[in-house]
Amino acid sequence: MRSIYDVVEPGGFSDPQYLVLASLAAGPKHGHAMLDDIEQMTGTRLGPGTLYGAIGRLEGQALIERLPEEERRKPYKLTDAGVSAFAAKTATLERIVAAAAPRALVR
Amino acid sequence: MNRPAHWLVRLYPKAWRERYGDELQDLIETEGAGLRAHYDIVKAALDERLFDRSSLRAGQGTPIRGALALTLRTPSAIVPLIMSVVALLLVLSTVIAFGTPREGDEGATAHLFQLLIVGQLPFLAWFHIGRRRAHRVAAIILHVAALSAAFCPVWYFGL
Repeated sequence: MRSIYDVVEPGGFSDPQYLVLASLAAGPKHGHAMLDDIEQMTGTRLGPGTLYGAIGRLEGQALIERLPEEERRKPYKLTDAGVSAFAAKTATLERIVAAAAPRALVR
Repeated sequence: MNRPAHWLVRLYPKAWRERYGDELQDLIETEGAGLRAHYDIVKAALDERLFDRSSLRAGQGTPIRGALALTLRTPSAIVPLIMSVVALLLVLSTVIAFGTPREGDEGATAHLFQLLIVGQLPFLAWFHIGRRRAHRVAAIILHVAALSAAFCPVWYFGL
């Protein structure tokens, strides 16, 4: 039986990590571009510490990797494992939303 | 160079800074660091230091053997080891020179022994802040071994 943490956080990553994966799923980006993209997606701008905490953990889990430097900036991209982890978590969230959305309308 | 950004990045563990420090500093300088960003960075740096979040790619982490070598190059890890060895030598030399006295007062040697053991605590605390897990485990193995060696004659002779 899967633990609740495997359901909520498959692959063991948190919300900021998921947002970084979602941002990189659209293509390689450096930190500043990720912040802009995440802000556009969520309406919230991550703090620099939170962003690099997430990047560090994702890189530690080999879900993202750093690309060669471009104009002093270091872009990152999803690895194959990162693509799979992102797809798995997105599918889980979609199932949760599909089940929860009708309940949100019931009052 | 932006001094506040530089000092904020300095809050992170060295290994983390070497990997991400330049990028984070660049981002802070580009974004500007308001009060909220300061709080976010301090919190994230503390998180890295306290919980040793693996921020480095697997394989770049320190294996135990490498960590042992690294521990032996770190002053805050070496000093407690030396203190344990001195404590051991102190007990052994006292037993060799004077036998195993059992007077009521513990005597200067016993007090010195206690100081050498308790005096390790600040060094150990300092060492364990912000180290990678492998580094901490290696140090614990070494320190437990050294402390056990120091206490062996105390237990054996019932001092």
